[in-house]
Amino acid sequence: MDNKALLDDFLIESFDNLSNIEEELTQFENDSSNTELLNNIYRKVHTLKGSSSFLGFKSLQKITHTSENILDLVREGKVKIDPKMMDVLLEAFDICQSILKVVEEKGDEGDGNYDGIYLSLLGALEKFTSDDFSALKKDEVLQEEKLQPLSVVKNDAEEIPEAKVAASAVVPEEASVVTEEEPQPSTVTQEANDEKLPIDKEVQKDEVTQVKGKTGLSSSNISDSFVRVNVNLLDRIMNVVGELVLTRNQIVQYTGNYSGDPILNKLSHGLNVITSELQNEIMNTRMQPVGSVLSKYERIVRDLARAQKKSISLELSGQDTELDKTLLEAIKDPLTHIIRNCIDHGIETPDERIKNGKPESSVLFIRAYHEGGQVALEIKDDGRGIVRDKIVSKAIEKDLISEEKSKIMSDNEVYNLLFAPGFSTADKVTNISGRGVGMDVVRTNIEKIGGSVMLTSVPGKGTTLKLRIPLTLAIIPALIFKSEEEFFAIPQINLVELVRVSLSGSTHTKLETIKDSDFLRLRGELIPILRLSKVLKLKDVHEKAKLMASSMLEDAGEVVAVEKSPEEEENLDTDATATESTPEENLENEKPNSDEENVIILNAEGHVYGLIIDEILDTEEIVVKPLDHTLKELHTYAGATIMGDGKAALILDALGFLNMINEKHDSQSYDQTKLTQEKPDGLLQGEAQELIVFTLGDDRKYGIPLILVNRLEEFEMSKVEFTGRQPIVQYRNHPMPLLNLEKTLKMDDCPSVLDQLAKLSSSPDEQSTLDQDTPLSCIVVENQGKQFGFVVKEIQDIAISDTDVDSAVVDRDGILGTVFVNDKTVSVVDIFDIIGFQKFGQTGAKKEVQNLKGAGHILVVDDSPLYRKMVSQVLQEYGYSTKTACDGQEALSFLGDRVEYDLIISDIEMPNMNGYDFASSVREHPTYSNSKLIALTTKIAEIDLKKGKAAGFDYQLEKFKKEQVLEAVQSCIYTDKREVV
Amino acid sequence: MQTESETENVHSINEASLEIPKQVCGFRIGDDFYGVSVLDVQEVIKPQNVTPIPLADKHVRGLINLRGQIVTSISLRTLFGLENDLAADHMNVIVRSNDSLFALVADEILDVMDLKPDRFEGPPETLDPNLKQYIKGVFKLENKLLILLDIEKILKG
Repeated sequence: MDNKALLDDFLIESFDNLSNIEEELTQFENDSSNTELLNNIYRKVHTLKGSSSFLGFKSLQKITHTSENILDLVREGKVKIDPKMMDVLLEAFDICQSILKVVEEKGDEGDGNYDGIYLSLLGALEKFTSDDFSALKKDEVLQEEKLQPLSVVKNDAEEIPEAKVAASAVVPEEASVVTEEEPQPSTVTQEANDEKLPIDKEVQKDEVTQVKGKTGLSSSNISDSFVRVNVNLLDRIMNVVGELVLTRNQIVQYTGNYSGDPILNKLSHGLNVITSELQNEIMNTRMQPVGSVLSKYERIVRDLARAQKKSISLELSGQDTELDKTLLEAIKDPLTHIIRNCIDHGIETPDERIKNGKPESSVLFIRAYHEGGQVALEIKDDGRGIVRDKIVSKAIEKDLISEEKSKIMSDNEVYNLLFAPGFSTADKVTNISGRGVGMDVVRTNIEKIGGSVMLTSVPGKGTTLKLRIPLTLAIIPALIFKSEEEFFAIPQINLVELVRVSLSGSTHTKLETIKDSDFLRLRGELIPILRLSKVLKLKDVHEKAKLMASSMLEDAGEVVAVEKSPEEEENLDTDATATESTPEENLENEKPNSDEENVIILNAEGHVYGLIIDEILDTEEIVVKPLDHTLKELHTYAGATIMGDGKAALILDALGFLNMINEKHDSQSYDQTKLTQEKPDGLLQGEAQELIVFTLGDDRKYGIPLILVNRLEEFEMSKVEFTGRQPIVQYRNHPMPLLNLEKTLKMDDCPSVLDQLAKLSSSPDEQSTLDQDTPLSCIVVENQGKQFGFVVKEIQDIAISDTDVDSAVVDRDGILGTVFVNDKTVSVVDIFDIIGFQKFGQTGAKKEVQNLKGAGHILVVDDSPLYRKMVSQVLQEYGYSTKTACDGQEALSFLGDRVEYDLIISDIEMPNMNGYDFASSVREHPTYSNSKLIALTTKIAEIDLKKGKAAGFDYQLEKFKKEQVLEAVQSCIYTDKREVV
Repeated sequence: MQTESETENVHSINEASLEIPKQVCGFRIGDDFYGVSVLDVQEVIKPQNVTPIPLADKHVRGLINLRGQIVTSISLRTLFGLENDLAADHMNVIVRSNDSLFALVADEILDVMDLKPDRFEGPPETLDPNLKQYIKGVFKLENKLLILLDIEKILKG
């Protein structure tokens, strides 16, 4: 795809345009009041001018430009067109056509002299603008009157509307095609819109071709060798072929199964081959080379590079890779975004490049190729690459993730953040990019057409974005599976992997349960698992279907014996051949008999979840058939397809399905809070706490809230040093004390790793059971700017607990309480207590505290005792005195206290009275209407900031962003005091 | 409210009377006769394999494959709140609406009937509201009433 192709496009469209213009001009002469017609002519001429100047055809440009000026005057109503003028215009367009023919033959305008027509056009224009304009106008009016009756007679009702269609259809299309990169001072807004709406354009293009058929032939050779076909027609053909493919599948399956007839087998084989060929060819008609889109980026890259003073060369390969036309249109915008991002963020300035020892000029590769039945598009730059820390800090700043979480995220997860809505790492917003819209739009758009985006990057070396686009939309590869004897399909694009899990056995293939929800630990990630049959209530559905089906079988003559078990009956109903598999699920029992389950792991726009299904069958190319509008509203199904046995099967919509579940959860938890005042069940939303679960010397499970954990580290035993009896380790250039939890928690009879190590270091000769090669597991916690290493026996897991910390059974100091994780009791360690027990590191901090004492009274409202304690402890460390309340109601009752609180910090999700209601009530309180209010919540992303603000919160922060919270607290109290002073 | 709904009814009758079909495809469900305009009917087919659609409305029986086209099967019995005992030899009346195909399940297909508009009346006031909302009116046959269904309302669910 190069200039030749561009030229061809230009020629085809210009010829079309010109032949239309002629017709429309003559029509306009008869119906000079038809402004719509005039506008259409004007726009076409404008387009022709634009594209010819873009391609450098000077004569063409001159002629069209002058014609445009004349038409502009007419359009503005300054002059009326007269037959003489019409002659000139028509002649001008004739000449344009002949110039185009020359262009077609020679590739340029040739040596022809077209000044004659140009001059007469100029003359005409001057006549309009000259002084005797008014006289001329009178003249025209006279002529106009003469013409009027004629036009009425000639004005056949059928002709005009048709022309209108033609006109309105043609202009926008080519406007965007040819003049896309052309700066147009007088851009018609419609053109701008068109670029954004490729689909609209498609439709309009269809109309073009329809009209073309009627209005006759273009005189050009190049147009002659092409038949412009309505895309709708192609779609319809595609549909019919789709049906043919299905019928073929059925015939092939049938003959394979039942027929021993060699002739029929041969015929069926022939049908198979021909159908496949037909399918391919039809798909080919919709295919266009990717190059037609890619070559457009040459210009964009050049312009952007110049604007940014960067030196970039674009290298394309695989331009002849073909893609469905609709898809090609759909990737245009995302590709532009990506390229802009690459140039703006990815590629360094020449100076920077030289400093880093790279060639001054950078290269942007765009490579298109086939891969696994899809088209892959790689956009690769040799720029600065993506620095993980930069993304992480930006994401934390934007509250997309918590600091704690960022530490345990994989590189891929971090890169994925780039696609989160509202994310942009550019240090400054330029007019090219950095506004934080873009990459999320890119991903949404690509996923909308069934594609995927993957990003890999090597810092300092460059970034590669890989788009995978399906060849076509109508026929997609999908996985067919069975649940409760019903067939379902899931598009391959949503499929991550297939896993077999057991209900017992080893941890990594075991289902775990929190409340009613199942989870699977897959390579360290906790993936929610749903049972498809349960979510879809397949049993009920199936009972119903069975009733219907059994009556049908009787009708078909296949008598079903009444004694047969329901299972066998089902098999007969749904699939005559499915006798080999008995259903895995017992009808009476919710739990399956079998210990093993098939799980399909799905990815719906970044949300990964798993579905338990009965049987995985096969991957197949399926034809997607739309569902009727009422069923579409369910959003659970992407459509239906027809299986080899002729039965319809539903295609699951991975995202819609997940949304449906979340909605259900929301409404359920809402009911729950309403009825029982319980906390919402915190699996997919709500205040779940993440705990690091570990064991100590007594092999019992202990936990520390993940949000308090700085890092998890492993140290070699040999790295541990002792100052006196205190073990320390060099960590990030600072000595970090290691805490002996067993000792602090007074588990004297339990062997602690540190004790053994200490013994070993004091008397190296003594026999020890300690294996010095195993590293020391350590949980690093930060308190008051200092880091402490909690030495544990084994770090087991990150668990989610949705229960509150129960402090009723605290039996010793240093333990905050217990929670249940997977039905096991986990003791939550109070790290502040533990650190407080140590004999070091507190002196400096204590002094500071002394200085600040009495700085302010703060009311802390939170229903979770854990958070309540943690928040107030931190505040106390910084010298504030605190009072705690467990919900809004209790807190309100404290407002009448003798002490006036300088600040109120409240949770949002609370029983009895939630944070919003509480804040509103505080605002109505006579003493506190102007005092400061801070909202703390587990996940800032899940709360409604506006709602919080309306309720009266001054700040809304994430729990245990300690620095942020403290900063907010300090600024609140400080400004408050100052105002009082 | 009462008056409002009444005027609405009058209105709908007037509207309906404008488009009283001359030819009706009649079918029987239970003991009652129903009909839809022949122009809406694409074909009538025998019982088919039905793929149930989980989570869909109750009256949606499922999907039928009609020569490669997906047809949504609607149980009028469930929709009208009738007893649901599906006859083995039921028939599917295939109708088209908004580019989608639907199958209305009937116990038996009657003839295509030529009917005079003067035999037509709006929905009787006393009719079971479950049914009334889905009908356009009633044709008085010689010894039986034929209920003219409002396909758009039925397919809206």
